[in-house]
Amino acid sequence: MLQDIRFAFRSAVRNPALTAVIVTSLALGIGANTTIFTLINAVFLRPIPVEKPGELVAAFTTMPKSTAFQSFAFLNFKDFRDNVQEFSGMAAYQFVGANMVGGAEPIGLGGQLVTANYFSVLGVQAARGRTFFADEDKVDSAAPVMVISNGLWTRTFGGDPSIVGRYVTLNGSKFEIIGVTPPEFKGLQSIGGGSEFWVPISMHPQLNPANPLFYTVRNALSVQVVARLRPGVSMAQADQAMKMMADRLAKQYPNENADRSTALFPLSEAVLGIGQRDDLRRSGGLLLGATGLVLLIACANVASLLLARAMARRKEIAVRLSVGAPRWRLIRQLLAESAVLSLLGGAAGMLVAYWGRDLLWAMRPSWMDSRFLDLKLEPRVLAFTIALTFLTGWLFGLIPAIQGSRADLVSAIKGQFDAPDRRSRFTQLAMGLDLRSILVSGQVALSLVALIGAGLFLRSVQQAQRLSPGFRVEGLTVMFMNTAAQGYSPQRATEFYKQAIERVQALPGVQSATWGENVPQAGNAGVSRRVFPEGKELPAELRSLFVPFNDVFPRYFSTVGIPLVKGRDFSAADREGAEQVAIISETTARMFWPGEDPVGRRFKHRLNPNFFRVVGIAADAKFGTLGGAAVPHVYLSATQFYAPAMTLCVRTSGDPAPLFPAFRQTIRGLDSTMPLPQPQTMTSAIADNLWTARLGAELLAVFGVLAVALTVVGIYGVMAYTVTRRTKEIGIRIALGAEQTAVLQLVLRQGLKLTALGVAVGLAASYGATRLIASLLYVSPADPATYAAISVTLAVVSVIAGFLPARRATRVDPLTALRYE
Amino acid sequence: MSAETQTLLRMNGVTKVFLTDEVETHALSGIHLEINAGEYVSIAGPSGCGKSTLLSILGLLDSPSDGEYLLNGNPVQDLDLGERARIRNREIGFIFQAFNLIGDLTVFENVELPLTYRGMPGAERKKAVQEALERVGMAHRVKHYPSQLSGGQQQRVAVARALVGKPLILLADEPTGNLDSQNGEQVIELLQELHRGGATICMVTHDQRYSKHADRTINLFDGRIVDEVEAAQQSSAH
Ligand SMILES: Nc1ncnc2c1ncn2[C@@H]1O[C@H](COP(=O)(O)OP(=O)(O)O)[C@@H](O)[C@H]1O
Ligand SMILES: [Mg+2]
Repeated sequence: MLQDIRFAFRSAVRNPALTAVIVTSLALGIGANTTIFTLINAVFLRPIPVEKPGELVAAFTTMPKSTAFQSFAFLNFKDFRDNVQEFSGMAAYQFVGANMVGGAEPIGLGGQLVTANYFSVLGVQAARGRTFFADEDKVDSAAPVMVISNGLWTRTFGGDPSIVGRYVTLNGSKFEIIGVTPPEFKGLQSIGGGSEFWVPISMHPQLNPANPLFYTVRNALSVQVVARLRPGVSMAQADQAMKMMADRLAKQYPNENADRSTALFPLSEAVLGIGQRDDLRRSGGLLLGATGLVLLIACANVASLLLARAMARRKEIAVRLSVGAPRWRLIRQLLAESAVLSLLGGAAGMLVAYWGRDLLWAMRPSWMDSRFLDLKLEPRVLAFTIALTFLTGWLFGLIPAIQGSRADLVSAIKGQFDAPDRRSRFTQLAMGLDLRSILVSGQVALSLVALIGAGLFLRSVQQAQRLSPGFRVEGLTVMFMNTAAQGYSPQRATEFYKQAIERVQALPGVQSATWGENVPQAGNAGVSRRVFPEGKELPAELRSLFVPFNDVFPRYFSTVGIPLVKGRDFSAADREGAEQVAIISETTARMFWPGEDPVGRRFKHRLNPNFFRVVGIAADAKFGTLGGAAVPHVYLSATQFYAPAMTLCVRTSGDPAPLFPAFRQTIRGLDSTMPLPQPQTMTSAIADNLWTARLGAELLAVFGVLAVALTVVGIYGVMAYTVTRRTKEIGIRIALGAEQTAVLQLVLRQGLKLTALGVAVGLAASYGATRLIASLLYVSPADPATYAAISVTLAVVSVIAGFLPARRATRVDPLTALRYE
Repeated sequence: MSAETQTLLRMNGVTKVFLTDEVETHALSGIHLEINAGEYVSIAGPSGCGKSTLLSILGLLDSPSDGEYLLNGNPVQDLDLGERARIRNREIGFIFQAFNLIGDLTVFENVELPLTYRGMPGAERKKAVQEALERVGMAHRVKHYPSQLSGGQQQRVAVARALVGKPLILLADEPTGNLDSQNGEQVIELLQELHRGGATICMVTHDQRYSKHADRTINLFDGRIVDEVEAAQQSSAH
């Protein structure tokens, strides 16, 4: 065995060109896979750093006729927690934005309001200090204590060793820092912003003053729920118990809970985001699929090259066989050679992955940093690469080894491979050359699939940029600000909003400025509610449809550039105490008042006893994905309903970027403790939103090009080998008067045949495979333009790859070719 | 030679020098040669004396280093690759020692090959191939592959391929070299038969038994023609 390996090394060194091509192919294949695996690992596989994550489940509220998984009403949560016996603990948590003063700079943070048992249910201990005592969520406003993340501690407090016991101001109230979490714990989401602090939910009057009803009514679905199964209890049993409790609550509080039930998911799935986990899985599968294709192509290449070498070595092998070497020994030796090659390839692949990871990281959108996603090359990644290396070794080594060891003794020793043999064409089909042809066709097919994927994503990005978002993108700048997080009262906040509008509008170059709770393509702060038009019986789908509500100041529509198609804009007269008014989107009008004019009509929502009068209809704007269908949207007047966190929208006549410092200064002038706003142009906000599509396009393009490059090597290799093998035949043809063009055609035709077969198979495979990614695209997965363009490109590329060997064929000297040996 | 015999090809002072590793090999020196239409010429001589080289130049597979070569009255020594390919295809029929049939093609396709390079219509090709195979007695094997035939049969197919295009001359380089004596005899008989039918043949052989059938035997030695023997003299020598 050792001797086999030594021999294998020697033969790798003795054929430097072959070894280089093989190792490079494998390095690219293995490297691409390892790179993507670091991403998959970070998103899907790294366990959440909690105790026994398998026991943890996430609970959701469900409603009939709706596929959405909703949060819990806080009061309902308490009833579930106190009555369902299948859990050893159940905790609630709720996102909250806050501004903190007391670190290096005033800073805006994302954190969680949590029940006091949050950390004990998860089984997370503080790395410094403590977590919450069991009674710290019992009395409102009684426990101003806060646990901070390791990231916040190191970034904002410079890793201060005496952090525990330090006081900071959070939204204008004093809080004591009582603990720091371990570095790996960032809350319960595997991607997206990690939590930076945790505060008992009893502190909601300080941190969420705008929504006191969240904690006192059963209408508002406002907290997320995580629970730990008692040992020995299955998720199904717990689910049943939850549903029974939901039935009880429905009977007890029919107004609010009549339609509601519950659903459980393993926490490991819920952390991906219950709504987006399918898309994420699909994206992950797509990337792994693409890199898998690259690896398969690389393996086909290597198999093909080794097959050619095995053919060339038939004489050596025949001699070994004739002196009595058993066939398994030859196979073992050939496998040792491929193992050595795959090890070299794997090692080089690790290097490629190292660079690939940096490249991947460089492609991230502007807002993402290592708090969001940590692409570590950890032991699991290493194990993956090693497994892959061995798998590929077998994949590309086995067939050539078996083929190679099957030398025909007599003819091999005579060196008469080209002498007409007595085999039928049928058995020849099973032999090396045809195997290589199949491999090449397969490569073409796989490349086509990868390229078509890339093409579809590329077209999607183009298409998405062409899609109308429903408002004017150019010259619009947005800045998010959280006034509640400054501890502002509603009056103070409204004053701040008005002053900000005045001062920003006074800046030269600014056409208009206004605030909106929610701005298309930039941030979603508002709540969603159900809409009940006056005097109407709604179908069940509409009754359980949650419509986003959006508090906006006057001139929101003209500033953002959403056309008002009917009625009027809000005005200062729409103030508190006046009649409650709303502007609805065209889709809302069509869905809730089909065939009618809703202007002047009234509707209600569950958290407000009074009616809202529709005073205007605005064109649909895309708040969610650009490619998605228009969804209903309801605007309320911010002068009538205070919103604690809003986005300042500024329309400028020219390029807004030079005005950014002036924007910041203006806000600082209004409140020096306000975290500096981060202005962003709408153009860049949209670019960030298209990030996944663009990343998909870029990655697949990289993999597609890799795949094609490897395929070109494959085609070239096979064609060159074919020309060598057919030298004599070509010589005969030339002797019989075949002209150059005829010989060129002969060879190119063979290459084209392989390509055509590959393209045909690849088209069919693409047609099937791209169906799986349809939801990630803005174009049809069967987009004919993409299919045609890619097929033609690939055909041209393969002709070019075959051209060099073909030209060599025309230079065959018939005399040399025909000389009998 | 009677007046009406037509000179088919003529060589004047043809020389062939091979340059390998700075060693000059004079394979042919000052060859003067004429072959008339309908003649059966045999080229003989020891191994390495230049027989194959001479035949290659006759067949336009190779060109002379010096000298003049007229085929059907036209100088052909300086033609380009394409023109030479066209002449090989139309005017010359080759028969090789190693048969040189293409293993991936059937008997029919092998014989058809020279015609396809002329762009002859399919129906016409089929007729010509059928005729040629009938003349060599292989018409019953059209669908076979060369590997399914005996050596003698393969060489017959090769002869059919050589004559299917109705060339001016058939060139055969040791056509019996790979055959046993019985099969060899049969191929020679076939050539004689073709000759009787009017074909011009130039055959290389080092086997005395076969060269006796020729009208004329040219003896080569060390790249030079040392002797030319007419058939009549040959037979009287026996
Ligand atoms: N392509 C070549 N390169 C170098 N020498 C050659 C080549 N072809 C033939 N020769 C030499 O020319 C001489 C004549 O060869 P050839 O015509 O094949 O002889 P014959 O067919 O009579 O046996 C020999 O010495 C041979 O080695
Ligand atoms: Mg010879």
